[in-house]
Amino acid sequence: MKEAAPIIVLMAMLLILNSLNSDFMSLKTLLNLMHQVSVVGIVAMGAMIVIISGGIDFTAGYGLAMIGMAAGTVYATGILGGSVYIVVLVSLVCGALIGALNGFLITKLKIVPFIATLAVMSLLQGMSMLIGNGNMVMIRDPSILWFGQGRIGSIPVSFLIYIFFCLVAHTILKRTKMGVYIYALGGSEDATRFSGIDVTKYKILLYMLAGTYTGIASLLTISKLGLAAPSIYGSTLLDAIAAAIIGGTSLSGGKGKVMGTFVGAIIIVLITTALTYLRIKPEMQDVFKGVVILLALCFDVVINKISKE
Amino acid sequence: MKKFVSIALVLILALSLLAGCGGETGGPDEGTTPDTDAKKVLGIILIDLTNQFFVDMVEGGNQAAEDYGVEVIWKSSDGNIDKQISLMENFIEQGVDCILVNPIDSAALEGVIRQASEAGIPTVTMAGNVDVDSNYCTVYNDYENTKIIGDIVANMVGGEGKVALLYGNKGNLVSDLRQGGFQEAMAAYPDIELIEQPMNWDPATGLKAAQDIIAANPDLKALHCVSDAVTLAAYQAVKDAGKEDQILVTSFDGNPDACIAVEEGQLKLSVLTGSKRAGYWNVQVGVQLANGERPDDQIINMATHFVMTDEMKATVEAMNLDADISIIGPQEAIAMADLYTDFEPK
Repeated sequence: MKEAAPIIVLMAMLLILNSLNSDFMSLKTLLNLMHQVSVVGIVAMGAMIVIISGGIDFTAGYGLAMIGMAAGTVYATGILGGSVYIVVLVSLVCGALIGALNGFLITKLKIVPFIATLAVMSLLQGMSMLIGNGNMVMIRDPSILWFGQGRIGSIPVSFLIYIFFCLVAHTILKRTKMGVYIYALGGSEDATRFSGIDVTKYKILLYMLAGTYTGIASLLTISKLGLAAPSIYGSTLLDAIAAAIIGGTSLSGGKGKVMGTFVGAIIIVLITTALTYLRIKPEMQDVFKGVVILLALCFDVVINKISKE
Repeated sequence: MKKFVSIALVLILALSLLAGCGGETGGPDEGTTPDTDAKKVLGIILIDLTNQFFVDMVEGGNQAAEDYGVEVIWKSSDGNIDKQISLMENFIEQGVDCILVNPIDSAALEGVIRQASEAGIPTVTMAGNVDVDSNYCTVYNDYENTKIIGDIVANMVGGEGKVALLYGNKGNLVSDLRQGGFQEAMAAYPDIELIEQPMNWDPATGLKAAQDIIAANPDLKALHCVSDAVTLAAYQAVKDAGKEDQILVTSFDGNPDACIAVEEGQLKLSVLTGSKRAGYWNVQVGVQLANGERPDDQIINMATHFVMTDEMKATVEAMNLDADISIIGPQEAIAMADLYTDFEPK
C-alpha cells in the first residue's frame, strides 16, 4: 500500500489535469517531461541514497553551480583540449570530491550531516562565483551539447542517461553489500557498527556516490542550457529532496526505493508544468509544491500509524 | 575530542564565510581600511553576485576605478534587503566617500539613505529612485526601452496572438521595471494575449518555463525575456520545438554572447545597457559625487542602445514608432560593451 502512494498521487494529478485541459495528455507533454525530469531526478537519486542512510546532503544545489562553472571554465579555457572527455571527467571528479569532503567531515570529524553539508554548501556557493570570476560560459561543442539536447528517435538522451543511473542506483541498493549497509545505517548506525561493518568507509562512499550523481546532473544542466553560469542551481536541491520524500523515502532513514523517487521526481516536475497549462499564477507554484510535499509527509505518518496498530 | 570537533566546525564555517566574501572584493590593490591615503573610497552594494549582469558591473566598475584612481569596495546583498541595509550601515560607519546601491526595495532604504545624508555621505541608488533630497538616482531606461521592445514585438506579430514574457521575480526592481514596460506596451493591443512566467534569473528555470509555455501554447508568436543569460537558455526550447521561424525571440542587457545570437538571427534584438558599461558609468558618477560635485539633475540617464541587424533596423524604422532610439549593429555593440567610449572622462 505504502509503495503505491506516489503512483496514486501521480495518477490523480494526471486525471485532474486531463479533465481541466484536454491538451495536456499528449506526446509533446511526455517528451518535455522526459527532457525536464533528468536533472532533478538524478540529484533526487543521490539525495535518496543519503537520506536512506540516515543523513542529509545540502550540497547538491550550489554543487550543481560550482561543478558546472568548473566544467564550463575548463571547456572555455581549453585546458587539456577542453574536449568532451575532459568536461565529463571534471564534472564527475568534482562531484565525487564534494561527496568525499562531506563524508570526511561527517565521519572523521563527527559533524552532523545537516551542519557539515550546510557549511560545504556555502563554500560551494562562494567557489561557483570565484571560478572564472563568475563569468557565464557559452558551450558550443556539439558533442557536449549532445548529452542535454540530443535525441535518439525522439527520446531525449538526457532521459536515457537518467534511466541508466536509476538502474545503477537500484543495483547498488538491492544487489550489493553496500546497498545492504546503506539501509542498515539508516535503521541503526550503532547496530551496524557493532556488527563489524566499516561504517566510516561506507558512509564516505555513499556521500561520494551522491556527489557523483550531482556531477552528472550538472553536466546535463550545462549541456541542456548551452551555457554555464553561477545561477544555474535554481530550485534543484529542494525539488530533489522533495522528490525523494514524495516518493516515500523516510526522513528518519532506512526506507526508500528508486521507483518511488522516480515517480516523485515526475510529480515535482509536473507541478510547474501543470500550472503553466492551467494558467494559474506562477507565484502559486511554490504553494502547490509545498502542499504536495505536506500531503506526502502526512500520508507517511498515517500509514506508519496504521501499520503499527 | 569534542573540543576538536567544535574548533573544526568553527573553522569550516569561517572558511565558508570567507569563500562567500571572495567575489566581493575589488581590484588587486584594494585594502579594506579607507582613509589610509588620499584615494577616494566608493562603497558599492549590488543585488547579488551570481548574476552575470552584476559580475560584469564589477569588472566595468573596477576599470573606472583604475582610470580615476579611486578605490571601490564591492558588496553583495545576496538578494536580501536586511543584508543590504546593514551593508549600508557598515559603509556609513566606515566613512566612505560615496555609497552606491542597487535597491532591492526602494521604500525600505529611505531610512538608511537619510542616515548617510546626515553623515555627509552622498548616495546613488542605481536603477531605482529613493525619495530623499540628497540622493541621486542613475537609471538605464529599462522601463521605457522595454515598452519600445513591446511595441516592436506587437507590430511584428501583427497586433494579435499570443506573446510570452519571462520576467525575473516579483519585487526585484530591475525585473519589475522590465516587466512593467512590457505590460504597458501590450495593454495597448487588446488582441494580444500576454503569458507571463518568472525565471528567477536562472537559465535552467527559464528553459523549463519556455518549454512549458511553448508546449501549452502551440500558436505562440513571440517570446521576450528580460535578461540575456536566461534568453539564451530559453532559446534552446524554441530550437528544440523546431519553431525558430514561428516564434520571435527578443532580449535585454546586450551582453556579447547575446549580440552574437542577434547577428546569427536567433534573437531579433537586445538592448545594450551593457553591464560593464553600467558598472563603469556608475563608478564615474560616484567619483563625481565623492569629489564634491553635485549634478543639477537628481535622476541621471545612461545612454542605451538597441542592438539589431540592419535588416531588422529597417523593419523597425518602417514602423514609425513614436520613440527616439539609438540602434546599433551587433558587432558595434560587442565593441562598445568593452569600451567606454560613450562616457568621456570628466
